[in-house]
Amino acid sequence: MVPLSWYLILSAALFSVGLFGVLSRRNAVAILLGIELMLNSVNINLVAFWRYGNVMHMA
Amino acid sequence: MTGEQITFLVVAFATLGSALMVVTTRNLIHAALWLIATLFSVAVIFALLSASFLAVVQVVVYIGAIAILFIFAVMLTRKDMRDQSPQLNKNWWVGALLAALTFGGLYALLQGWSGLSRTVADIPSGFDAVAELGTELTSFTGYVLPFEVASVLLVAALVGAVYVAFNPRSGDIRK
Repeated sequence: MVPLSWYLILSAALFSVGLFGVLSRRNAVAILLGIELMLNSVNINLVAFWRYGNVMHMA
Repeated sequence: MTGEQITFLVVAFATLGSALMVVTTRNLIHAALWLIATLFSVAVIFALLSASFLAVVQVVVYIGAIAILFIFAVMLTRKDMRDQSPQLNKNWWVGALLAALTFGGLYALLQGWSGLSRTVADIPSGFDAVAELGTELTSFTGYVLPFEVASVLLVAALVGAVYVAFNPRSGDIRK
């Protein structure tokens, strides 16, 4: 059984990697790639909280 | 350690490794391809969280549209695709420091939270998450208004893109 913390730590690490990409890349397209990584980490957080919260209560 | 945990760890390390390749590789095309690997790993994470609809949406929208759009953008804007010049700016260590501080701060914040070791409950039988999502997106007590506003916004962006690309004098698409 995977505890909730693993998903949250993975999401935090992915967010930090994306932040590093945004802050330190020179090319504008590469900065957008970093932003995509950050958005995906947010989605992981969101889905993890849905799954570990009350699944029946989606709204 | 159960099989589920081993699967999670493998997928998590694949995600983080390919994400690190996205931000460090010099070739932009390679960065976009590593981004596809990252997005696919995130789709697997969604599947592990039994969010099947979002896993499919992740593959179709992110890999099928956004990553391909990035590859198109790189191919249309870079003169030399094999550009191997340094891609990091000279203050990259500040970015690395800030990213490490962000991760440390988030980790410390999570350690102080009581719900962290919460374990997952089984999804009740007969519960259809996709049907529930569709009902919520179309019911007036649910999210029909944000849903429609988002679609109108997308149409506006589409019309704006056509207007920007259209040259009224020659009646032709602008070169």
